[in-house]
Amino acid sequence: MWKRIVDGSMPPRKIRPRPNSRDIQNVSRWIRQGARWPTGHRLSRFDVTTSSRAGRDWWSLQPIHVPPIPGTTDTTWSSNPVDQWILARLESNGLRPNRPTDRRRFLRRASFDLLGLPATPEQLTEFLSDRSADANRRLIDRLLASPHYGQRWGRHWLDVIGFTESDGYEHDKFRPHAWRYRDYVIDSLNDDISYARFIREQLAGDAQPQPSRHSIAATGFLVSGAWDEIQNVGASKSEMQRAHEEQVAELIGTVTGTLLGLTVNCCRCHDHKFDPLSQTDYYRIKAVFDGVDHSQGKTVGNRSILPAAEARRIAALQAPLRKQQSQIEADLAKCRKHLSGHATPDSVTDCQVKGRHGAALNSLRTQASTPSKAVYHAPPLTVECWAKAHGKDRFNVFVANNLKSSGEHWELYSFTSVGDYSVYMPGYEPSTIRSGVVVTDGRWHYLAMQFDGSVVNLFVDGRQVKQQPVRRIRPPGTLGTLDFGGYRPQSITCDGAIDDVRISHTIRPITEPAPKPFRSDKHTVGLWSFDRLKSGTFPDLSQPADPAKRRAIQLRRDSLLEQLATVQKRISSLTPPIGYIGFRRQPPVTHLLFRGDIAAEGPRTPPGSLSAIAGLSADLGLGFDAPEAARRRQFAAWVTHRDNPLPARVMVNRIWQSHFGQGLIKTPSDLGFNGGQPSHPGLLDWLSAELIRSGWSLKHIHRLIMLSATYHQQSTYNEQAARIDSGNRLLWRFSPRRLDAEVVRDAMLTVSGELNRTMSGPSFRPFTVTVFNTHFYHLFDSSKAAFNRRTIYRANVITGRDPLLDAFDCPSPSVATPRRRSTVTPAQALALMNNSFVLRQSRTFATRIRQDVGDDPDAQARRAFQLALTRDPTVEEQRQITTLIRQHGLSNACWVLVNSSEFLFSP
Amino acid sequence: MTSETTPTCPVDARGRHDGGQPRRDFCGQLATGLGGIALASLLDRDDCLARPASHNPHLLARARRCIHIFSPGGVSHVDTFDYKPALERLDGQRLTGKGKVDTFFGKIGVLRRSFYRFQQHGESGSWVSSLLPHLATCADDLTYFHALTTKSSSHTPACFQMNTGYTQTGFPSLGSWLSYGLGSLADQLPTFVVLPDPRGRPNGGSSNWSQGFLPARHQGTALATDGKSEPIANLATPSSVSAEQRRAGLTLLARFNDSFARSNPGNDELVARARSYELAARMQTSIPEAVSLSGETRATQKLYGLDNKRIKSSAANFLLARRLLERGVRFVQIYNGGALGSPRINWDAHEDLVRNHDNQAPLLDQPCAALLKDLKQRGMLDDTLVVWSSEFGRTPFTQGENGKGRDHHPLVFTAWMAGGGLRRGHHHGASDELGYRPVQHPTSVYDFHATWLHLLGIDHTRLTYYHNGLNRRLTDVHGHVIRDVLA
Repeated sequence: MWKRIVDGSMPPRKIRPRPNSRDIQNVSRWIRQGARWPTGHRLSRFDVTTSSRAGRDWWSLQPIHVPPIPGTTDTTWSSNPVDQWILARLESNGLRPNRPTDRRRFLRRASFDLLGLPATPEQLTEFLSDRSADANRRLIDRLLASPHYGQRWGRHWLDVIGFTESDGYEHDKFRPHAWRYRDYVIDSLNDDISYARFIREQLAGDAQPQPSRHSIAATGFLVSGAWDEIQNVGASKSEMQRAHEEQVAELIGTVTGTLLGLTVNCCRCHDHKFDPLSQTDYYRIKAVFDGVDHSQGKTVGNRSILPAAEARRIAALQAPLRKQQSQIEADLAKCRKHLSGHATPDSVTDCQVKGRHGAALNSLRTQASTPSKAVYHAPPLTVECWAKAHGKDRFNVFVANNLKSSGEHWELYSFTSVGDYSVYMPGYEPSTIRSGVVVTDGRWHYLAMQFDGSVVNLFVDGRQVKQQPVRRIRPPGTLGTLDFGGYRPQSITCDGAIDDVRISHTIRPITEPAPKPFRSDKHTVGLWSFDRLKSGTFPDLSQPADPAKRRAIQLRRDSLLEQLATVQKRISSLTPPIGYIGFRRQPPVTHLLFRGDIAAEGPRTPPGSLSAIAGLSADLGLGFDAPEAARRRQFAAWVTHRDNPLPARVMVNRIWQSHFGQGLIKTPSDLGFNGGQPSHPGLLDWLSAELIRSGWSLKHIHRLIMLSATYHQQSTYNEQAARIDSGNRLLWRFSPRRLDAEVVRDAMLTVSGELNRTMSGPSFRPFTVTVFNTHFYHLFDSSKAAFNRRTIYRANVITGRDPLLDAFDCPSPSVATPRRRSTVTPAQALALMNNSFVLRQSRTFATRIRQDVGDDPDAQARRAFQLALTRDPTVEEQRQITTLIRQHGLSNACWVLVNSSEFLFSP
Repeated sequence: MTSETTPTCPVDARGRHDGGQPRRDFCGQLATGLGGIALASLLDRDDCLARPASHNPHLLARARRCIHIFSPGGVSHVDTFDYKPALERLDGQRLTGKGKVDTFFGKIGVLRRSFYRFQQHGESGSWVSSLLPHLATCADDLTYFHALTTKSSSHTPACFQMNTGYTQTGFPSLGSWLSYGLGSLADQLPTFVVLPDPRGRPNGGSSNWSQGFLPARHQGTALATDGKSEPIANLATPSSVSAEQRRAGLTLLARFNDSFARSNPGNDELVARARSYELAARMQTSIPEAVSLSGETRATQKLYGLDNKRIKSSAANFLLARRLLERGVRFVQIYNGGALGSPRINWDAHEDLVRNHDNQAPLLDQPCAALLKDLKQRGMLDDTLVVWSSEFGRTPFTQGENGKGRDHHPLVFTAWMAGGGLRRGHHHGASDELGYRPVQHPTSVYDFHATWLHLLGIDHTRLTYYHNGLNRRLTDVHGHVIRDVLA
């Protein structure tokens, strides 16, 4: 070896830097001293950090160490120890911090930072009138106590983990119960629960000795990413296993990146290229999470979030009620056979439009439905309706009976992209019968279907257009509803209107020209004209079977309905809350996979954790077959162990980043070799120690940062400083930042006075959904209050993104985004110019101003500035905006303000 | 303003996140005047790629722009471009000697000869089936990849792999990588345009053209071509706002923004915002002009098949693609198929291959052949790359004993490229005698992508983006450029 070192052939020539003469002398001395080697010690490339990779001595893996707080030349600037570290580095670089900003800008900055909302003129007045020495502290306390704090910082957290409310992949199915986890995050931040507990609950809140509904909802974290449902559909075993491996890899990436700032997911196929993380580390952690899944067989992970004992208690109370309910329902079905089926619209507002005969159902705005009856599908059957539709880019459903899963389902609809009149009957083969005759031309058409049990005939405007023999392939199912103007279970609608619908228990001859208003005869089992709304329903005009009995049956029915309502109310008050939390199963023994290849099984690997953290063992004391719950519980305990320095470092850096735009470490989810060195290592560890000392209080860290002189600085640019530190890593100024996408939208709602501050609960869904294997989301823009909630409550679906939010760099759900970007694009300008939401907010903003100050353009101008920018206009601005108001209207002026850079930037 | 001097994005993003230096360069550029600032990539404050200097691609680019025609559902290779005479001999027999067979639906039928007649075409003597008579006339212009393999036998992961390199949700699509790596050729149009099949969007929807973790501006812009909705969101000034109101509003806005930028120097975003409104205004006229086909001659419209009612709307997409490329769009992706489900609106021929492929093929055949001819005639084929692919092929055996369809087949399938830098009429790789596995030059999707990027002047190992611990690539840690196909 010595010879090779001396002749320069070792280390291999490509290795840089080359050993220098001192290195060589050291080796020589070591050999002369006997070349002693510690027994049992094996060299590993994980041992020491080199120029190309990190070793076990890498800074972030070492215990938190707080050096003495540095001294500074200027002893008057600092407000707290944070500033000492910042100032010391500024001074050593020959830089000075900026002067403190004014109180107005400070308020605006703090409000955007903590709440994600602009400060109101009233809040400004209140803050300015507080002349006490600790006015700032009181302001920060006030903001931290606001429930909006959790909404703002919850969004940061959801970014980091890549929270999605739809599956992604092939189906991209909506997850209606995923919001429980979102609410858990918001509530926990508002309550400032200990960050260690926050971690433990998300990893193993269901596996604790005393779980609560909150801690169980927290485990939505484990299934917050995308998921490929199709893996449970195909027959290929290897396909299922491949999908499972990828899903766990993603979870490991989320867990380790989010909580530890390490990219353990990079060692699935081989040891980490840059960090001292081995492939075995990966598979040990994989064993921890191998039992987590989104579904159990075909059942997806929407489950009760109640702890077992509470759930049992409730189930015991529910059982007799359920029995009662099904008895009442059976009795009702008997009554219904003899009664008319009144159709109830989902919403009575705008539910009618001008029709073919009298009024029609406005299916663009609402659907109507009535409980189905067996006679609605029993052949011989004739269904007739008048329909008008425009949309060719979608399915329009005119009339639909029963659930698609039932063998008795039939629906009259127009086919997507072609727009031809079609019938779908999944109980029969072929199930899709298309006429080829386009009816989506915005005109009224008389559509009919005859079905005698073996042949389907379709008619358009009285002319037969299709004859199709069919064969029964599926048994009947339970009765659902008869829907008009859509298929409600999948929210499929009809872009048009529906007029007279008649169902007959006979093969009724279809004639041309069409009969003017349908009449009822002895064969008619249902007839709806949609002309008159009677106590919220459209009456069924068909003749009841036995008029004599009718009254008695009606009374009986009413009483049953009343009983049913009572029972249902009691049941629903007892219904356990459901969350999207997935399933846990006892997994088989985990094996390491060579190259990550499912066909190349390696040694068995017990659940465990990382071996690289100084002073913390990777051994969780678990066997290969340890119970699933214990695996996650032990792992959570390991993550939050007092000797683990990573969670605190990672978290205080995230908080720092959200206040200053960049972290002390620039890659917030990567504290490994690629993340580089922190700009202020002492400060990072001091804050980490403070976090732990305060009982893991995140609000404590906010206070330390926001009450520092560093945070107080003006954002004024300084060319000289920029020459030394263009990226402002040393913080010689406060970098102004454009608002995040959600904040832009929420700020517009705030100034227009439309913001609906309702917290928690199911997300609002500004889209309709059509399902053609994939769920397709069709966005709409609604002015209703339910849609004016804060953006964090918008259903966060992968393929139903909002172009306005996209334009402001809102990340794709399911993509873990520890740091947002801030771009300027023409698409952004187009959105601000023309987006219907922006224009509506401008108009509402104008209305509000008029209500506030009346019709005087000068007063309007002032009020507009105060609301949008938290300040009065200058004389020049006042003149300009008043001129615009006079000549082109107040809405136009409001539009200018919400487009302005000052509105869109935190000072 | 379609010119080489527009600041294209550099192709060499460094992984480490200390983007201060390039950003300062950019500020300098802003300070000296905005005339030459790149447009679609106006400003990304952290993005090293927003550097304005005229960056050369890594390599000599053989093509400057690209079209991908994607036929989702799984086009049967043994019924289109991969002629297998052995299947005629073994028709009706069981597959043997290929080891354990693992298909998506698990119903392995009998070997089935092609449902179509194969013939040799052109000077290259390339075999093309009677399913695609128009494309057969272009046989000499195509470069065939007969030994492609993909990871998944499930549609959407396989589609994602063809589009993003990965089988999972959340990775940037190839078009997004191109947008990021090459930037735009024209300011007034999007860089990456998607033309969905007129019958509906593909399975997985917009995830197929998502930007993943790249900045949002690199995502594909799906044009609405139904004539009813705006081609892109928020394009038109709403009718409730008069032209005069808008002009006055924009004038005052520009004044406010200008004065705000001047009183807050050193913030490049503020300066860039002014420019973004000018560009937006230009897009308002250039996009409607680009998507209108009324300026095309009768003869051209006929060439694509716009006179044929059945294929008209598909043909319109192919013609539109050419117009977009002409006007400086960098990458157009045409979808020749929609989502999965019944009735079939893509190539997923499980039940009855003839019924399915007979329905799908005309929507591809004439319009696609017309596109190739049209590009050639306009001299554009030499610096345009045209790629056609599906996500996988179909089994050489039927699905089920008496089946008339074929199941998914990821083990081997065929795709082709045409245009700049390719050996025309060349066949690369081969499948075995049955079209079951590759026997010569197995080609992964990574290799296919590496070659694709190479033709556009990009070294696939150097087009990287730092995301959560890794310098991510389209080709992950794989991929080799297939030199054999290069001219």
